[in-house]
Amino acid sequence: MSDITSLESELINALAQLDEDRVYDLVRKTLDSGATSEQILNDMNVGMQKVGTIFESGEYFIADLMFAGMIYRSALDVLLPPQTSVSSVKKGRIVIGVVENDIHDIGKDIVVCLLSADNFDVIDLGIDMKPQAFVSAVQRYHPDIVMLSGMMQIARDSMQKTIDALKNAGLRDQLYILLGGGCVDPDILDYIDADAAAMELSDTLEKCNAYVSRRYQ
Amino acid sequence: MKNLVIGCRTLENELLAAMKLCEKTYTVRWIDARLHNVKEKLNHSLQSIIDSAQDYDRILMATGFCGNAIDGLKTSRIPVIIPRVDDCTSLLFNSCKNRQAHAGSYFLTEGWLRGDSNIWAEYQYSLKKYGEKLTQKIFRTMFEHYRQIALLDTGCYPIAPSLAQAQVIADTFSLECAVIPVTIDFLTQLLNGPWDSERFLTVLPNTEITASDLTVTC
Repeated sequence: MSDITSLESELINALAQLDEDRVYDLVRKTLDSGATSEQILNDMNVGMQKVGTIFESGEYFIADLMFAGMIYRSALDVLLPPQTSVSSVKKGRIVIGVVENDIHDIGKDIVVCLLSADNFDVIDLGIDMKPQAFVSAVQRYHPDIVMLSGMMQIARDSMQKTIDALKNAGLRDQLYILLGGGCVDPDILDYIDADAAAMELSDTLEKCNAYVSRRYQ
Repeated sequence: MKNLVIGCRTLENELLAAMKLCEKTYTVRWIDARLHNVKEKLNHSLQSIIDSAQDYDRILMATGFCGNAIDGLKTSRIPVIIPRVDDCTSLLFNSCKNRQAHAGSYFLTEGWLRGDSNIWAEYQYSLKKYGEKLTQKIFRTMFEHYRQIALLDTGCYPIAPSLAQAQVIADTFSLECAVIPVTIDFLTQLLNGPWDSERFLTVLPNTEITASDLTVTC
């Protein structure tokens, strides 16, 4: 156990220091030492939080944040190889997209990767998706969950418009609508009519799992 | 009425031009554009200016909502007036909707190019730290969904030198380069008033800005 703790600590620091090769190496070693994917994912999230803190201090630039996101995304491929996640029965179906007028998708891509690895059937609509695109996707794919992602502040308006479009199409009540991305803050549900909002990756996974568990109990 | 203006250095050319056009000589407290990177820091800086503006009758914020950094600000005994736009780019487009017509554009002005945390400075930093190959990868990811570098021609600075810089940036990132004419109408309206509630958020004295206040004009 102490080895795992030590390796996890090294992994957190390697990610915080943006040491790409070392991150991949430590993910493999930590997995080999018996840590679960969830533990390692939590470690990487702690590492990303450290990156954010260093950025806030002014030591890191936006290029560093981008690089951190790229390392994180690639580390998931090491952590969650496809064969570990294959199951004929999916937990549930999710339609996800970056809402209209926003094109920032690194966070969304990471969430798609995590949810797919966690055995959800994920339909990724892409970026800058109009409300009608979500309506059409819901009509076509009949998902359990719709995830609206956005980074820019204007994305909040698009989120509400998307939810309104789903309501007008008579689809709202059958869906669990989850908001995510940089535009999400703790108060967002006060003025956007979604079911939940997630500010952390782990929170996203937990909320999706909790919902499908309730739905298919 | 004695007005204090809070202005962002990125819009210095435009705000000073608007002041001249409106024949206003209001005091301006400038905020550093780098504060935008961390919402909490920008919020604290704005709160500090609001708290210290005891000798004025009104604060005019020549900004947008700046990624909701104004959420939670508390006014003192004087009101604060803020354009209902998400950020200063929409301010120059005179509405969020006009800006949205240019999706896929990375916007620049002379003020942005002058700032020491601009995209070119980021690129130079990355080259030094990560080398050519990795920097190309990082910036390809960063600009994956952008199609052009768009220099906003506000009419408040000589366009040629900034356009030359914008062209270099566009060429480096394999993007198109465009010049888009915009206006300082929102700024002149802010300086002159009146401040109709469709286009301006008026925060009354001794009030806290909450998320529900932050609806933008279309």
